[in-house]
Amino acid sequence: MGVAHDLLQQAFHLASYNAPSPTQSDLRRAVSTAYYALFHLLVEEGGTRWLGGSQSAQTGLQRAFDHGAMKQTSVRFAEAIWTDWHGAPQAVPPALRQVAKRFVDLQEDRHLADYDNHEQWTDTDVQAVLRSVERAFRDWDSIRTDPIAGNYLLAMILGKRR
Amino acid sequence: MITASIPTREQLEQIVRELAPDVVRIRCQASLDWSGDSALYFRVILSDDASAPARLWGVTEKVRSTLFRALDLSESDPIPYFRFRSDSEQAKIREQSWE
Repeated sequence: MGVAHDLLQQAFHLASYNAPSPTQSDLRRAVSTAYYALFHLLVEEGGTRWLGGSQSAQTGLQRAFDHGAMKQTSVRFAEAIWTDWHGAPQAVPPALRQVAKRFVDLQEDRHLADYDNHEQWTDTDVQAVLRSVERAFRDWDSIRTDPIAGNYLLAMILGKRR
Repeated sequence: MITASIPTREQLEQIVRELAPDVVRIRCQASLDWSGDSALYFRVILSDDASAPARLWGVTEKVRSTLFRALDLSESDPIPYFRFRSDSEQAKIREQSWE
């Protein structure tokens, strides 16, 4: 089990640690950790696909993933059609669209949880977030070998340089 | 610049009626998200029954898909974001933006 799965498990643990009365810090850390679970799932996959011949190359590649570029790429892959590297329209499979949508949602949730102290989080809200990440993991597993999933990861790495 | 147009109260109430009794109230606010993209923030109050662990995922997915369909939302410009809270949680917190 990689870091991504560990983080997902930890997010659930944080949300239930002081149940039935979780603190705001429990809930905020659960949301933030859930985002990083999905972030690392995609980064680990990218690093595994383009290993580059060494462990240090893999680490270097993983560092090329940027939160902002990952968001903008995910916004494009959440749509029904993605314009490929040749300018041709490609249908985005529903499972990949769901992963991309969840990534965009989670990144915003994570910013609210980490930086906006006026936002109150509740157990219902956080459980909805955690279930959406769980689902995103399953969706990714179902689509990860599809060539368009590779294009999704590549577009994240390239960002605006495409 | 905020370019998103906010759904009217009447539109949201119509959707609440469609989703009742699972959905109690929906509020929406247009703003910019963390990276400056135009965004619509939907705050959805669910009934306590709909917030139960066994039902939560199915209900939230239905709410999202209904809002996308009824309001003809796109995935971008503005980006729709959704938050959920149970009726009893809001009754304790009484946060104005959810009222």
